[in-house]
Amino acid sequence: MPRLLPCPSCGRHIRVVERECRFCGRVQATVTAPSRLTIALLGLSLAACTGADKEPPAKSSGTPSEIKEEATAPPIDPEVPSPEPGPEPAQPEPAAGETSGAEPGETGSVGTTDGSSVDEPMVEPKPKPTTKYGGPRPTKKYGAPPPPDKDPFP
Amino acid sequence: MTRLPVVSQSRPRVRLPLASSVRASDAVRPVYAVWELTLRCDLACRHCGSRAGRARPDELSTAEALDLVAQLAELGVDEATIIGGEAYLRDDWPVIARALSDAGIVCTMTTGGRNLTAERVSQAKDAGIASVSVSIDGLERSHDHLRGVSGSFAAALRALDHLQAAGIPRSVNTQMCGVNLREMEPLLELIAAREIHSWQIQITVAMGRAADHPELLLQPWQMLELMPLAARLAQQTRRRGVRLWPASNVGYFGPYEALLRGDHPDCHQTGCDAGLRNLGIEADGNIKGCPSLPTGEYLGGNIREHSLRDIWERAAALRFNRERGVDDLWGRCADCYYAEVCKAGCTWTGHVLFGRRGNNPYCHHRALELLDEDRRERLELAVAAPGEPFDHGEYRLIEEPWPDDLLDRARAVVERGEGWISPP
Repeated sequence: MPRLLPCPSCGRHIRVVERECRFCGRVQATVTAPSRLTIALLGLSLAACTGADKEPPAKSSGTPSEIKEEATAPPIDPEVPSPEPGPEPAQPEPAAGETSGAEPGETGSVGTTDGSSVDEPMVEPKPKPTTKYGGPRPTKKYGAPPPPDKDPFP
Repeated sequence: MTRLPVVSQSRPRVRLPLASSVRASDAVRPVYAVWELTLRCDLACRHCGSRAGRARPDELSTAEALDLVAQLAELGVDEATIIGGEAYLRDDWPVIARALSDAGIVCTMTTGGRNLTAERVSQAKDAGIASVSVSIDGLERSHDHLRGVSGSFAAALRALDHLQAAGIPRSVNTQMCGVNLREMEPLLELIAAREIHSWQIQITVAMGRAADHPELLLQPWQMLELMPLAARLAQQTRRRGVRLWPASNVGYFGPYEALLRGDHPDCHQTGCDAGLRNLGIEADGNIKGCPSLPTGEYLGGNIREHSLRDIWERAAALRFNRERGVDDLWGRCADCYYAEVCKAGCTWTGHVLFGRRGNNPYCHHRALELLDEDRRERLELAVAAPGEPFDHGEYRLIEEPWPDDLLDRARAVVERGEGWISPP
């Protein structure tokens, strides 16, 4: 499985071995040999992955949608109710051809910087990080969130 | 007098063959199980994947359920969420919950909460239930409409209040669908006041009754407005001390991936966990790799026929993820930049649309790539579902140019991270 990290510029995940971001074109600085600096930057990079300093572009105050139909009477048998009247039909849309086509294939390659200035270099992570934000995967990704006193990263 | 033979009303159980040997990859163990204690339910949800209502005719006895608890513990399951139908409609639910806790398995519950009375909450506390997630699908009109019962929204909030009074940690889970997308931010105001610890969001999937209601399903192009919404919710929940918990069918790999999955050590989605870390149990003892997967295609076996460990290790339906490459990907997922990591994301979500796993149009990255081509994808019901629990129909995926009046709006939503493409 290829290792991915978010591009510091656009936030999209790209392969750590690729020289530039395929989405925004930003040149990535890759470090091929581990060093103290690498380890320190790795920690910063992984911490950034928590999104703590990453804001979405803007806030919104969307208006609630209106429901086409309101539920009416409760069922006779409270334990096994029957569905209430059905919803409005879906809005028809113009027909078109079925899905086809493919995305461009990947063209990544290993490389170093070409001298371009980068303010937040990408670093190649160690194979298996060991701290909370780089440690074992969560015990689950599906279903109800774990209770608050249960650390999902044991 | 000659007695007539007793004829079982249950459908004949399918005896599925198990592999003759165990591979190294089958040594993986489930850490999380979701257990449908009964299919009996006191709601009538229009989007219910299991078409819950009446109990299955051959649900496990108490003794069988307690034996299964022991097998779950032996297999190493860490946490089990009891669900239904409605788990509390089974008389012995506190006994089973207590047994799970006593076996060292964290027992949690997911409920619609319609009849989660103070008395039942007290039973939950005594049984050692660690957390309860209440399903709320929008504001009152939307929720009552989706749940098929007037007053169910108020009942869900009452359930949260009972849990709060009893000191049981609580969370909320919400299905985002075609009728409630714009209600998520107002809903957060309501539920955060109940001091929930987490909020799980997921999209409605075309299974069971939801498959019969195309109008409830989001269209794939709506990922362009849903994912910025999820990002906004992530910020708002963080400020309120609530953890946003996007389900595995919310994604994938757009500009908000690291924000939404920052708690994951990989900082991104890593594909389906069915049969890897997850286990699903139906009330009659059927075992699947994930509780949501369609039973017809993903039934591994029944614990009345085999031990849980044998099913886990040797049933083909639970093995499909263990040595999975990209060979079963198709459509746009086959050629996707993220194919090797994502593997079409949530198997359940994609499979029930087309009757085959490996292609999932509910993807932010995919919608963005299509937008670059001024195109979008849309789903249309082609074949209705037969009407069984955990069944599905067949949807036709249509790729088409964006309508002129929506294209600029779609681009603006992507650019600004706010606003809506779909009409209110």
